[in-house]
Amino acid sequence: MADRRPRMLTLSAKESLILELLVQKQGMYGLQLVTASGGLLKRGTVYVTLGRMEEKGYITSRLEEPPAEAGGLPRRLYQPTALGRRVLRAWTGAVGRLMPEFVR
Amino acid sequence: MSGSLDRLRALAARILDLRTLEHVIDPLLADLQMEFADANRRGRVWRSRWILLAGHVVFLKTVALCEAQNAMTRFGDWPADDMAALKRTLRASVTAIAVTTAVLEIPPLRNSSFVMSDPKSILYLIPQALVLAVPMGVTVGVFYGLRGRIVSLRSMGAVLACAIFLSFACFAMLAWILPWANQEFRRVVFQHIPGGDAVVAMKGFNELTLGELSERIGSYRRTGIADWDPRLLAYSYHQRWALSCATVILSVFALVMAERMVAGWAVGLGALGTLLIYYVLLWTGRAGVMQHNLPAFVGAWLPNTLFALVCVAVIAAASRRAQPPGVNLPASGQ
Repeated sequence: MADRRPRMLTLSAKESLILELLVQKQGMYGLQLVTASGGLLKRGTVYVTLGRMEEKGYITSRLEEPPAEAGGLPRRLYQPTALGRRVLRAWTGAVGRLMPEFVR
Repeated sequence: MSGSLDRLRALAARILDLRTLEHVIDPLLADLQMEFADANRRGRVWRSRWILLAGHVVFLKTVALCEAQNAMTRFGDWPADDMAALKRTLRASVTAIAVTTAVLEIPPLRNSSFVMSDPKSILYLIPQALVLAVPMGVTVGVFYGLRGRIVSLRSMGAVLACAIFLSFACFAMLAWILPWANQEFRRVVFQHIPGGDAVVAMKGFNELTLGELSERIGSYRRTGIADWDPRLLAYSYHQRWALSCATVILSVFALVMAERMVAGWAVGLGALGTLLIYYVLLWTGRAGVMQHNLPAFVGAWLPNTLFALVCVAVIAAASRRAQPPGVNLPASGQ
C-alpha cells in the first residue's frame, strides 16, 4: 500500500546556504556556488546536494550551451523555485524565532 | 581534456542511472571543463593540470556519494517483511555477540585477582573473546532472525555482506589486535612480579602477530630450530586464517538451515548444535595436527571445509527437488 503521509519539507544547512546564494544572485553554476560560499560548499558534494534539491523542488535548472568554439558539455544553471523561496523564508523565520543569535 | 572527460562520463554512465548522470555528473564535468579551458586560455599550464587532477578526485568522490545515496534509497525500498527479518537478525546477532563476549570474559576474570587492581586489563581480554563471539553470535542471529522463512536474495546478500565485513574485522583482530592485547595483558599480570619483565619480553605464540608467526615458521624451515613445537606454530598460523572465515561459513550454513526450522526449540537446537559441532571439529583438527595425523593446514581448515561441504550438499539437494519433473512425450508412430 502506498504511503499517503504528506512529505515533510526539510532544509539542511547546505541547502539553506545554496538557496540564500541563489536568491541573491538569481541563478548560478555549481562552481560559482562553491566560490561564492567562501569554502562552506565543497566541489565534491555540491552537485549531489543540487541534484537532491532539484528532486525536492527547491530549485530548477536549465542547460546553457557552451560557446561554439569551446564545444563540450553544456553547463547547468541553477535558479530557486517559488517553493524554494518559501521554504527558505519559513526556515529563516523559524530559526530566527528559536535562535535569534544565529540569524545574521 | 575532452578525451579525459569522455572517459570519466563513460565510467559514471556504467555505474549511475541516467538522471544522476545528467543532473549531477554532467554539471560537474561541464564546470570542470570550463575551469580547465579558462586556466589554459590564461596560459596557466600548472594550474590547469592541477584542476584536472583535483577534478578527477572530485569526480570520484561525487560518484561514490551518488552510489551511497542510491544504495540507501534501495535499502529504504525493501519490503517491510524483509526489513523486519533483517532487523531481527541484526538485533539477535548483536545481543548474542555481547552475551557471548561477556560469558567468555568470566573465566579469566575469576582467576585473576589483579584484574580488579587494574581494570584496564579487562579491555585487553575483549579481543580474545570477540574472535569467538562474532562467528557464534552471527550464527545464532541468522538462525533466530531468518527462521522458517524463504530467504529472499536481497536478505541473503545483506547477511553475507555483513558476514564478510565481520570476517575481515576478525582477521584484523586475529592477525594484529589480539596478539597486541594478549601481550599488554601479560604486561599487566607480570608487572608486580620480580623478574616479570623478562617473562613479558619472551612472547608466547598467542602473542605473535601473523607476520611474526610466518617469520618463525620460515626460520624453522631454514634452520630446523624453533622456540615452540613447530606443528603448534603452523597450526596457529593456519587457524587464524580459518577462524577469520568462520563467520562467513557459519552464516551461509545458518542461512541454508534456518529456513528449514520453524519451531523455537528447533532453532535453538540448530544454533547450539551447529556451534557444538564446529567446536568439536575445531578440537578434532587440532588434536589431529598435534598427534601427527593431519597436516597443520588440513587440521585448521577441517571445520570450515566440512561445513562448506554440507552447505553445498544441502543446496544441491534443494535445487534438485525444485526442478520441475521432466515431461515424457509419447513415442512417435503410436
